[in-house]
This record gives sequence, C-alpha cells and structure tokens, in this order.
Amino acid sequence: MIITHLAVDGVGRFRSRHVVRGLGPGLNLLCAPNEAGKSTLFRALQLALFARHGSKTEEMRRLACLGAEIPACIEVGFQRGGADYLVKKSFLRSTGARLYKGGTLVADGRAADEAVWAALDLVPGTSAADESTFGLLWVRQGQSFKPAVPSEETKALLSRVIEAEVGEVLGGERGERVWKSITDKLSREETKTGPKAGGPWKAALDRRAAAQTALAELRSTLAALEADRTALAGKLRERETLADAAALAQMRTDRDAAVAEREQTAKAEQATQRAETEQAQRELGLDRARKRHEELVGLDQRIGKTREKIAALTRRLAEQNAACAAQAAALAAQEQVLGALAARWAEAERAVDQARRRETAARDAERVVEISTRLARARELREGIARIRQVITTLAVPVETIKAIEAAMQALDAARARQEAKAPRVTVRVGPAGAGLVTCAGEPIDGLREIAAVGPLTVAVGDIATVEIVPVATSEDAGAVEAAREKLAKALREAGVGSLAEAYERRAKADDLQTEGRGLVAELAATAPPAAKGSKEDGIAGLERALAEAQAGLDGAGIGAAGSAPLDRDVLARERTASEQARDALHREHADAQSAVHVARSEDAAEKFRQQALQIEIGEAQSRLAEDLAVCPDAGRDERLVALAAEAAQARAAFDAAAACATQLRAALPTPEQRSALDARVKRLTEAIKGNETRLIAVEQEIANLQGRIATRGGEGLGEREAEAADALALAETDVAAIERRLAALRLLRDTIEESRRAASESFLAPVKTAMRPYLHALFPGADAALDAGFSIDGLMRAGTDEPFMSLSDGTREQIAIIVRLALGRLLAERGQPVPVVLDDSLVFSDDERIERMFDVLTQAAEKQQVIVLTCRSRAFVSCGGRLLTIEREES
Amino acid sequence: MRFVHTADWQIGKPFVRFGDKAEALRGARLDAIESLGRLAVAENAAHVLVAGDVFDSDTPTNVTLRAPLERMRGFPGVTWHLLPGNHDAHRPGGVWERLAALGPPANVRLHLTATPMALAPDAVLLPAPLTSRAETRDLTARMDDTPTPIGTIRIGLAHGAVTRFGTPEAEGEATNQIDPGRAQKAGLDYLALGDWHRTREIGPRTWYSGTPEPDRHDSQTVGSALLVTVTEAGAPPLVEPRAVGTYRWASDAVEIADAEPLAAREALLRTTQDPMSKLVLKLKITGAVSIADRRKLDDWLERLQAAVFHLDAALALAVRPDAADLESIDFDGVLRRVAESLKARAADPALSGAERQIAEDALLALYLEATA
Repeated sequence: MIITHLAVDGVGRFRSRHVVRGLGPGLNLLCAPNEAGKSTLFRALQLALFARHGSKTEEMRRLACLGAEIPACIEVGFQRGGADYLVKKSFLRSTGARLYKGGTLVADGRAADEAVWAALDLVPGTSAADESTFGLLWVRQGQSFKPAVPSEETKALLSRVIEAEVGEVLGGERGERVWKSITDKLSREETKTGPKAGGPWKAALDRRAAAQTALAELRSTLAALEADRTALAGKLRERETLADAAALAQMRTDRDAAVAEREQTAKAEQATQRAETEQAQRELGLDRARKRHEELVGLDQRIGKTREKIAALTRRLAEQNAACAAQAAALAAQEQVLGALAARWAEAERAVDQARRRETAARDAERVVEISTRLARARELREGIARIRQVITTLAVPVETIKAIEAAMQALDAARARQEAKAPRVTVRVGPAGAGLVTCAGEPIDGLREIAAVGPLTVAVGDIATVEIVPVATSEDAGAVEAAREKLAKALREAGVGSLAEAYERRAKADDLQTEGRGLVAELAATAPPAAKGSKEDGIAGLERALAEAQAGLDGAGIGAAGSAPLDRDVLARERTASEQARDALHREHADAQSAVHVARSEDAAEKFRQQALQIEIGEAQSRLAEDLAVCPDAGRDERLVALAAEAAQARAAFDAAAACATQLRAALPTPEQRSALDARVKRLTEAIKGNETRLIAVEQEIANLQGRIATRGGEGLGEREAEAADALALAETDVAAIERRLAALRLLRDTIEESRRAASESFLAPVKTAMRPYLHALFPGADAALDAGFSIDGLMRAGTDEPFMSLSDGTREQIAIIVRLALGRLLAERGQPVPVVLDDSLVFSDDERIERMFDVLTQAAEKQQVIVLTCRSRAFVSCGGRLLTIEREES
Repeated sequence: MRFVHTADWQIGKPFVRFGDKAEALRGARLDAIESLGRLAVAENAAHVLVAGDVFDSDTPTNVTLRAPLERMRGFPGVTWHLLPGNHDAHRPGGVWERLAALGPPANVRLHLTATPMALAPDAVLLPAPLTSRAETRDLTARMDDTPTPIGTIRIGLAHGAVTRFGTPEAEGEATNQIDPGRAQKAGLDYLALGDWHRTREIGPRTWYSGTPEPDRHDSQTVGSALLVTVTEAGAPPLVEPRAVGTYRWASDAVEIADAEPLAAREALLRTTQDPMSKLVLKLKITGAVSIADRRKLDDWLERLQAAVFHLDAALALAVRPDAADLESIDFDGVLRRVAESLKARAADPALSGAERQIAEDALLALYLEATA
C-alpha cells in the first residue's frame, strides 16, 4: 500500500480544505512547526481508513473545528494491489463515505467503510476495523520509544506471512486453541504445587482420604467387636467349667469329711486336756504333802543349830570386852603428845610473820626516797614551762599582724611610686664653675643629679639664682601616699612594734622559746608520766599520790620511821627464811602426831563396834529360838514327823496314776502336722467352693456385659458397612487413578507442545531477524535483537552481553522500537503485504550521530515500503532526504 | 424324598461399585429366595436346604437380618433349613444368636449344632455348622459316627471346600476343608455343600449348588439351585439344576485391529444374553487400533453401556495412529510434531508400559482436542 493523497476540511485547525502535497513511494518527510496540524493529519488518515463514518467516538469529536458547525471531511488516496483508491468521508455532521477505485465510485455509505477495510484486509468492527499491522507500523506522537507489541490480529497476520515461508511451525490458530484448552484443563485441576482446591482431582483425593478414614474406623470397631467375641467365647467356656455340678458336689463332700474329722480331733483334744488337768491337781497335792513334811524336818534341825550358836557367841563377847579396855588407854596417851606439838607450832608461825613485816617496811622506805626526788624535779620543770609560756605571750607577734604590716608597706611603696612617676624630673648638671654653688632642696649638688619633684623643689645657684620648681598640684597622689602611710602606722601600733624588722625579731625570739619549752615538757613527761589515758590526774599528782601511799605503808609497819636507821634487806630475808624453816619442821611433827591420834581413835571405835555386834547377834538367835519353840515345842515333835512322811507317800501314788492316764490320751491325738494339714484341707475346699461361686457370678456378669456390647454393635451392621467402605475406597482409588492418568497424559501433552514450540521459535523468528538485521547493524554493528514468539522485543545482545530492553536508554529504545517496526513492515512488503510506516514526531531522543544513521535506515527501509515521517524539527531533519511534503490550503 | 439344595445367598452384600444400581442387585438376592420358594412349591419339595453363607457378614443390620426371614415366611408349606457358613459363622453373640432372638418363622430351622434332625419319617438331616470363619477340622467327620435307624435316608449339610484351592502345604492348613469322600465314608445318600458359587458335582452324592444370584464374573452366569430327589436309602439321588437368578453375569473378550468386528460382537451378545437389560457384562478388549477406530470403539462402548445393566470394560488396547490420524491432528507445524513425538514415545521399548500408556493417552487427547 502506498498513500498518494491526503486532504482535510473542517478538521482540527484546518477550517478550510488543506492538502498534503508530495506524497509518493519511498521516504516522505513532512517538516512543519508545532501546531501546524501534523498529528491532526495523522489522526485524520487513521479515521478515514479504519473508522466507520457514522460513528462518533471521542477521537472523532477531537477532530472537529472548535466553534464551527461544519462536517469533518477527509480524503485519502492510496494504491494497493496495482489499483488506485480514493476514500472520501465526512464525520460528525452531514456524514458520508465513498470509495472510488480507478476513479470510479465503487461503494457508498457503510458499504464504502467496509469496502475500504476489505481492500486493506482488515477485520470489520462495530465502529472501526481492527487496525492490524497499521496499528503496529503507524506510530503516534510520543509512542515511538515504546516496544512494538503487535495485537493478536497483527500477530496472526505476521504468522501467516511467515509461515507461508517457513511452514506452520507454531501450529497456527489450532495450535493456540489446543494449547489453551490443555492448559485450561490442567489449571482447573492442579496448581504448581499440587491438586487445586475445588478441582476434580482434589475432590477425588478427598473422597479417597475420607474412604480410607471411614474404612480404618470401621475395621477398628470390628476388631474391637472381634475381641469381645473372643473374650465371650472364653467366658462361656469358663462358665461351663465353673458350673460343673459333679465337680462342685465332690468338692463339697470332701470339705464336709474334712470338717467332721477336724471336729473329732477337737473332742479328743478336750479329753486329753481334762486328764492333764487332773494330773496337775494330783501333782499339786503331792507337792503340798512333801513340803509339809520337809518343813517340819527343817524346823527341828534349825532349833538344834540355834542353840549351838548362842553358846559360841557368848564366849566371843567376853573376849571382846577385854580388847576394848586396852584400846581406850592407848588413845589417851596419843592425845596428850598432840597438844604439846600444837602450842609450839603456833609460836613458830608468829615469828615468821614478824620477819616478813620487817622486810616489807625496808622496801617501802626506799620507794619514798625515789618518789620524793622525782617529785621535786617535776615541780621545777613545771615552773620553767610556765615561765617560758609567759615570755612567749609577751614577745609573740601574730603572723596575721605581720602580714598586715607587710601589706601596708607595699601599699605605701606603690603610692609613692605612682607619685614619683607623675612628678617632673629635674636634672641638674653642675659645671666646674658651679661646683659647690648649686643646692637642691637645700642639699649641695656636684656633677649630675636627677630628682623627681614630688613636691615644691628649690634649686639655688649660690646667690645667683634660685629656681623653684612647683609640680602641678596632685592632691590625689599625695593623699594616697598619706593614707598608706597612716595605715602602716596603725598596723605597727597594733603590733606593738616600731618597725617591721622589730616584729620579725620578736617573732624569732618567740620561736626559740617555743623550742625550749617543748624540751621541758618532754622531760616533765618522762619524770612524771601522766596517768593512763582518760584519767584526770596529771603526772605530778600521780607522784604525789604514790609518795603518800608509800609513806602510809611505812608508817603502818612502824618500822624505819623517820630518823631510824635504814634496814638491811638481805639480813631481813635470811631471818625470815630461818623462821619459816623452823615453823615447817614443827608443822610436820604435829601432823604425824595427829595421824597417830586418828588411828588410835579408829581402833577404839572398831573394838566397840565388834562388841555391840556380838551382843545383837546373841539377842537375835535367842529370839528365833523362842519363835521356833513356840511353833513346835520339843514335846511331840517326833510323832508329827512320822505322820507327815506317810501323807507324802500317799500323794505320790495318786499323782503317778493321773500322769499315766494323761500320757495315754495325748499319745492317741493326731500330730500337729496332721492337724495343720487337716485345717489346710478344710480351708482350701471352703475357699475353692466360695471362689467358684464368686467367680461364677463375676463371669455371668462379664458374659452379660459382653453380650450386651456385642448385641449393640452387631445391630449396627458393621460388616455391611465395612464392605461398603472397602468398595467405596476401591472406587475412590479407581477414580484417583483414572484422573491421575488423565492428568499425566495432559501434562505430557503440554510439556511436549512447549518443547516443540520452543524448538520452532527460532526458525519462526528467523525471517523477522533477517529483515531487521541490516537496520540494526547500521546503528549497532554486530548486535542482535532477542524477540519472543509474539514479535515483542525482549532485549539487545551487544558484545556478548544480553541487555533487557527496559534497561536501555530512551534513545536506544526508541531507535530499536522503530527498527523492529521497519523490519516487520519490510517483512510484509517483501511478502506482498506492503503497509506504509508512519512515524509522527519520532526520533526525538536521538543524538546527532545516531539520527544520521537512522536517516540511513529510513532511506533503506523506504526502498521496500513507503515511509512517512512527520516532524517539527526541520533543522535536525534537513539531511534526512526523501520527498518533502507540504500542507497547502486549497480552494474547494 | 425331594428337596431344594441352595447356598451362598450372602444377603447384605453392598455392591457399592455399581453406584445407583447397587440396590437392584441387593434386591435381586432377596428375590432369589422367592424364586427358590416358588421352585420348592412347584416341585413339591417340602424342604429347602441352605448350605451356609446366608448372610454376607456376621454383623448385618437388623433390617438385613429380617429381610430373608420375611421372604421365607411367605412360603409356609416349605421348611427352610439354614446353616452357618464361613461368612456368617455361628459364634457367641453372632448373627445366629441375634436371628434366634428375633424369633424366626415356624418354617425356618436354624442348625447351629451338629444335632441330627428328621426331615421325614425316613429321612434325617446331619448338619455341620461352622463355628468360626476358618475351621481347621473337617466338621463333616462327625457324620461318620452319627447313627441313624437302618433304612433311613441320610442327608448331610455342610459348608467348605473339598480341595485346598492351591494353598501350599508350607503355608499351613487350609481352612473349612471337607473330605470329598465324605458321602461314602458317612453313608450319606446326599451331601449338600455350599461355598463355591458355581454349581458343581463332586461325586454322584456330593454337590455344590452354586449361588442363586451371582455376585461376580468368575462364578456361574445365572443363579441356580438344585432340585434333589432321593427315592430311598442307598438309591442314587436325582439332581436337577434349575435357574432361579435374575441377573446374568457374563464375561467376554475380544481382540480387535479396527472397529469392524464390533457390530458382529454386539449382535452376538444380543442373541446369547437376552435380555440385555439384566446383563452384567465384563468385557476385555485387546489389540491395537488407530485413533479414529479408538473413537469409534468409545462410541460403541457408550452405546453398549446404555444397553446392558452394567458394563465393566477393561481395555488393554494399544493406540496406533495411522497417517490419517496424524493428518487429522495437523499436516505440519507444532501439533504435528507433537503427535509424531508422542507416537514415537508410545512405541519406545526403553520406556515402561505405564509411560507408554500415558503417551498413548496424551496422543489420544491431542487428537480429540485438535479435531474438536
């Protein structure tokens, strides 16, 4: 297709008829400034070819002239298939459409719309046709940098064109339909991770899981029922055994026989016990008779013995009386010796005491002398210290006072310095002739002299002249000097000194006295040490008290009084030792005598005790003899002894008979082992019978429970339900298997189609890449573009690197997008489906170098198809070449 | 002495896999009881001996338990003798105690012990009820030592197998075994057996009656019972099989290379299995066909399924697409290449059978999608 004519009237800014001049094959370039109507012309071209003339879309309304009530008329002329067509359409008002072919009207109205579409192989629509490849190749203002994304219709057309050359590699519409159907079916049943909720597969899996659960539960219940049945069978067998009447009767017979035997044994035991009781009673009678006889025999013997004992004791008492008298005499002699020794020992004790007192008095006298000496020295030292402290108090000038004097002197010096600094400097230079003539302030001057005139100064030169120098009155400085001077005088008065030097001297003397005083204090502390810490008593008072105490001790002893001769402490010690030794010797003698007296007294007491014991023993024997004789006098005792012996013999015979009877009965009784066994048998049989009855009751209860449970479960139809559940599970398994087999087939089909499509993709896109390659290399030498099966561009491969399309710069993206469109246009043109490429205000992002290359590309593309470029950049496109189009007003 | 010998009613079998048709099959098993009753009345047989497995399980619902009793109650002139089998063994608290507690009709006898029962003045029934599902003893051995008056017809009633059915010796004892020579050893005039669902003569005096209403394809086609006549003790019994079932359980197999033989097979079925509406057909189809023929087969199966009571079609059929099939998918392009790839995969011997089958299914799916 080649557009050959375009005219508008009442469209946009074109209120009158305007015609685009110069349209033809190859590259067409319309350069016009902004608002010249380029884009309006572009939209008018699209509406004339693709829109139904009677429709009123927003796009059409924008084409109307503002404020003008006129129709929008568009004329488009084009060549296609060797024929010339002219389309005339009026929109919005007085609508109409006509199609001329070769100058002849071939269609009018709606037929004209559809005839145009038919001529361009477009699919009709309600208000407009699908723009198909035109939509792809006609690039509106601002869209040039976007990737070419063909519509489904365009892709189908491109596929048809390419497949005619490379074969139906992608399967065409049928392939797409099959692919979509399969993926739809799979997506209804599964997701990427597994069965899809709500899908048939998931439902079948759920049914299977539910059937498995139901079957497992039923089988569990059946197993419990089976266990109950097994238990019931066991209980029934046990009941049969427990309820065996013959066995039970035999057990009862055995038990009764054992009980009877045990009762018989008990009776024999009682008879034996009675015989043994009789035996015991006989034995007791025997014991009593024998005892009575033995007691009488014993009494007779005791009376005889008592009489013999009394006689012997009487003899021993006489002997003891003599021994007591001898011992009393010996004791009296010993006591006399002891008394003499006691008197001598007391005398020796008094001598020792006297010697000790004399020795203590000598020691106290020495101490009185020593303390008196120290006390006198201490008192001297105390007086010296007091004297020094008095002198120091008189001499001392406080440090603060000295500092005040020093400060006052410094202030006075400063005031004077300030006064002198302000005073005029008087320099008097006396020459040789004036020697002795010149005086200053009354003092003669020789040579050179400089004086600060702080007050009126008179310089006299003999009688020749008198120069009086009066400084400017400086009462302030003089006052300051005077005030400082008064302050100094006051400080000296308060210190009691005449000068600062005197203050310093008095201060030094006070320091020396302080040192001397500290020496005296130290000596006093050594002579009269102060009392313990915390005591109010000083050292001198302590000495005085110690002296008083020592003197008191001496006075108390009455020895060594003042005026008496001093005692020799060694002599006194020897005297004391001698007296102590004499005393100790007497002490030992006294002790020995005392021991002898004690011994004699003990022996005397022992003799007397033995004497009394014999007397008591004789008394007791006589008392017992009297008692025994009272019980059994000597008269008739022998007859009684004979009678009691006869009674004892009779009791022995009765006992022997009873013992023989009891022994015979005991021997006839069963042994303890036999009786224990009999008891065990009775107990065993009794318990067995009772246990059997108890167990039978329990088993009956268990049977009833089991039967009740089994009956309840039996009525639930578990067997039927289990069979149904098993069948349901088998059915669910079959369903799942069938669905999974179907899905596996669909997945295989999908995967195989995907694989085949991938393999075909490369060969399918080869023609597009071939068409694109010259253009691409013109801008990007050696580069290749990646396309997908839908002809969309994915990216650019340069220097072995893949660059995603969206990562490229705006300029590069625009250039590549235009190249793809040009290539697709070329592809169509080379295969007999030429469609013009229209670029409205494109290449706005290209730099100077790239735009030159793009002009080359456009020129190359224009060799195969018509390319129409609309631009406002006249200067940039001056080297583009091609046909230069103009917009001209034309009178209708 | 004339009686009807039947067994293996298995009342209560669920038939879940038959879906909505399960109820009809369950009802047919009860209907078979009435058929037996009518047979007994028609043939003047006073007794119906049921040789075990009256119920499908030993825990049926009460309704299932009562249903056969009510059918039997409808034939008061016939005495029904019920014997526990391995499916409904007589165990404590089991189905037979429940049945006894319900109070069966007067014309129904439950044989829960091996106690002989007189069927007539000159005939005695020697039952051998199973008391467990898997009895290792031959319970019919008691019959050898059970005395009866001389000249009395001795009829045994038992449930079990007369062979080990292939159970290896090493795998322990076979259960519920019955000595095939029991009739001779015990001096029986007839031994009525149950367990096998197919009517079978073990010896002149020993028979399996088969089930009156089949429930599987590997037994007999139509349910039957035996009408037995014993004229006197020691005389050979006259045994006459009689059909009493409703549904026919038939199996068929066909190998095809194309859809051509299907019409003839259908005609044969309609002739031999009339009425088709009562036919439970298991059909195995083997061979290899083109995709187009496979579609024809599917159409044929769909029609057959509508004609019979139930169709269980097992297809072991290879799909071998021919050139026309592939062209129907596409002449060229992706779909054609996919079809070629799947065809090669379906014939690839290196793949497993399951993988080849999936490839065939995928190819068939492609065909259906492409030609839709």
